[in-house]
Amino acid sequence: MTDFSDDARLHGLWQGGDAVLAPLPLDEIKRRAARFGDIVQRRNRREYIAAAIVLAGFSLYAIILPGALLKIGSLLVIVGVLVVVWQLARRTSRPDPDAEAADVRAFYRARLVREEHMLARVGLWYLAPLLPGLLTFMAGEAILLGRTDALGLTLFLVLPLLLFGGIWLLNHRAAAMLRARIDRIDRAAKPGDSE
Amino acid sequence: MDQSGRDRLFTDAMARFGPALARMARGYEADPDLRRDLEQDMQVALWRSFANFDGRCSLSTWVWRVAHNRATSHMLAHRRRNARGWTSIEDVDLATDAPSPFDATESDRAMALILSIIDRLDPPDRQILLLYLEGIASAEIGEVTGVSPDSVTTKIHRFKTMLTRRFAPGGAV
Repeated sequence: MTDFSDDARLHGLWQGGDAVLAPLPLDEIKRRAARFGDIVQRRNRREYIAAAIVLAGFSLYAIILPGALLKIGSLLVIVGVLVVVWQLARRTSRPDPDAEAADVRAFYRARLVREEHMLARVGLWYLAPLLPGLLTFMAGEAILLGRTDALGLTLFLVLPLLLFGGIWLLNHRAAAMLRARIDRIDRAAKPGDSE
Repeated sequence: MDQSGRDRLFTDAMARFGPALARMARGYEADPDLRRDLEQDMQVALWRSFANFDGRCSLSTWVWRVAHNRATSHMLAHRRRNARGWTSIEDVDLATDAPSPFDATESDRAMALILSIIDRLDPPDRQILLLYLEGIASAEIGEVTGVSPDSVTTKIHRFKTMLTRRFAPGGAV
């Protein structure tokens, strides 16, 4: 029977495997290190591609769709998307190589805090810039289709608002979970507190 | 630090800590392909970090910090694959999902159990246990992780108690 109270045996069990680190050639390491600044750019590429598609679509709408509200709504959506893209680039700044030499708890906490800030403020930097354009566009569409009755307004205005509200709630829930994790890290770090 | 000094330090670190870093990566990533990516990322992170290594802490503390922090970033980037989420060791419950003994040898069972516990842990506790398994002293674990040595000792004790109880015939945490 394995004796788990014996440190030496437990260490021997863990270290007794055949784990081998496949070494990268130094030239390859330097090549990859030089690309380090591209990591965030690669991570955000999907968001930028999606934004480009939305921008192209609403630019076309602004030109071809009839009615002032649809054109203004399209232009407001374009402005909103540009604000979101700017905020995304600003909030996901380049990774700090010095931070990786910090103690593990501090590094992990800083990562969680940064994510919590982004999620908790998603209404401000992600939803709010898109909302005016979306509502104006949907109002224009309701008028164009003659759906200014209660059901039409619900479909064209209230449902998008509910969708945005749902996104906001989900992000706030995720932020609360991160806050709980941050609190746990802080509690564990208190001097003399061994949990 | 100049380029040649950085290269020399990196080569020295790989010679000393290479196998330990491979074991550490196993504690962070079960998928072999993703684990290889993680191992390579850790090497790149270490080489980059040595530009700022000033000897204020030991080489081993520096290597562990950089490697674990890079692994933490890997965990966060791939967290969607972990549907259960992570928790602290105090909240781990293995009663329903611990590996089944079947016909595996005792050491295989023990290793599977160790990995199943580690896989449930959030980064701070995971790092403490992986460093403990490498035979690092509590004081240095505290220095690497930013947790008090007392807390380190308590978490290691909890880990060993869980292993003992779960490994006992018919045992569950």
